[in-house]
Amino acid sequence: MSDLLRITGLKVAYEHDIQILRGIDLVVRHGSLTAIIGPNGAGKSTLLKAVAGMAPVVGGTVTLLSERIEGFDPVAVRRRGIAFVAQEDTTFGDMTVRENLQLGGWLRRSERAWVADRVRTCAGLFPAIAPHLDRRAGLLSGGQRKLVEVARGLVSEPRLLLLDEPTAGLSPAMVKELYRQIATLRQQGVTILLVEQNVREALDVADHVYVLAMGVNDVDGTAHDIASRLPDIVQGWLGRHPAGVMA
Amino acid sequence: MEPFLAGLPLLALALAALLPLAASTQDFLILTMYYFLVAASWGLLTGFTGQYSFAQAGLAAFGAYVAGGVAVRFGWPIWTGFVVAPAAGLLVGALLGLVALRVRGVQLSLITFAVASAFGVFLAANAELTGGSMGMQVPRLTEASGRGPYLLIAGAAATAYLIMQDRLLASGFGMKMQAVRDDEQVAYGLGVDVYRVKVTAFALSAAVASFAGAFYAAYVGILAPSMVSVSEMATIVAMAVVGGLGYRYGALVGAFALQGIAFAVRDFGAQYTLLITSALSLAVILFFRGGLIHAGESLIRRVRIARAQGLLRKRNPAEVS
Repeated sequence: MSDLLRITGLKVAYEHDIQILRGIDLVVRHGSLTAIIGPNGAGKSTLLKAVAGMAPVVGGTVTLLSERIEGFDPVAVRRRGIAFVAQEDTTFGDMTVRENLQLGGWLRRSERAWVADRVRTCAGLFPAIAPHLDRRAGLLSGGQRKLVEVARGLVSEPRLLLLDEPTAGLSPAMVKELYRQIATLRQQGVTILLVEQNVREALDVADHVYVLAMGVNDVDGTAHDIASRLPDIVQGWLGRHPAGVMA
Repeated sequence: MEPFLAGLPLLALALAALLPLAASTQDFLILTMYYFLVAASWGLLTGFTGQYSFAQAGLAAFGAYVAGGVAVRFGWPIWTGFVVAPAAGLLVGALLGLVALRVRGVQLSLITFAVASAFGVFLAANAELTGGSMGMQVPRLTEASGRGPYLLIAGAAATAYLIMQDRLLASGFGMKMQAVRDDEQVAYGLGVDVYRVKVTAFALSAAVASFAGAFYAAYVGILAPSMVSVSEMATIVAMAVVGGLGYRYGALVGAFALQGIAFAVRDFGAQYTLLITSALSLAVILFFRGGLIHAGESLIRRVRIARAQGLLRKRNPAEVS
């Protein structure tokens, strides 16, 4: 597998002194599911936002295939085939589910037939939302809306799908459903970069895992490798960052 | 259903042109179409793109004076205004859109309102250019006094607008407009080109209002700065809101409702028109916040539910004791 996304020495800072990321190195291979785990405040979401063009990059590089894309705005990033599913709810409540999905397609390509075809295909992947296509998205449950967002990302036929804690605030049943979908997407060869606090679920589906703490990535390895070292890793977070307790 | 609805204004006004209707009825129909176009263009910007601009009456007046101006100054036939005015409106609208990139919400409302008011003052002050408060005499479309051509043009314009609006809202650009309306920040984060969407929406909306103004100029034949008055702008807003903001046919229903009231009371209570229409607008906003179309929809839904539950079946006389 070749590299799809390569991040080297990435630094992100809000204002001048508040540095969130202090030099991240990361590689996402074609067709892989790469997970980023770490304690609260480690900069996981900021890393995804930086790739998506929504956080101020002050150093380092982000390379998609052979193009440097750090500092691009979200419009340019999206056109290059990177879809971002943010942690917070970003469905458009006054638009129908179908319109939400179509928007995902239009942001990539202005071809009506292609958009309609993609919406059909992607809605079909999610039995929980397929029957509600003509409902206003605001009427759906939180879990269903999250699925709409993932589906909207997929409609754009992304080269890379960024998922920022997709299971935050979902019921256990919904978490299961979502991870079943993520596993399916991975089998279909969709390249995914996933940020997750649900470490066990993430380790179950991921190929490669990066561990982030304090704005740097100090550990990475295969999911299996990281799973076996998890107790040590968590111990490390406890030692360094008492507030970020997690298991 | 939808193509039929869009064709309705053209059908109705074409029919009105054939029937021996009273001149006042024809006036009512033609002016209702004018108000519909201006209110709809405002609804496109607010109800579908979320940009609360208050320059729409000013833009209609701009279109009217541009059309009148080229006819009077250059001696062009007045119908050329139907092309020149929207083209000029497109540019002015894009400029307003650029303003909207810098300010949002109530600031946008204030600035656009100030620009429109300043234009009204400009019209009144430049008597040698615009006729000032005495008004500008504009040549009409035909020498004949018949209203047939106006009915046809108004109906065709309304239908053309509804078709264009349907296509626009179903397009990728329409999705982006609605995304900007629902949440500008989120839309930008997703990759919606918010700047482009705003400027384009302002330009399109202004072009439609300017066309309506040009038509108004050709029909009424005399233009006055009062076109930019506060009550004129309020009427336009009320029509869009009473019909239902964010509904494709909201402005059409609203324009007919408010113009219809004014028409119905013209003989015995014309001085109360503003009072009655204001009261109706208030009532609609207070009790049916979604507007008349929304209220109608929920009524139909309730009747359906009640029917499904058997509540509306005729009572068996034996049960009534």
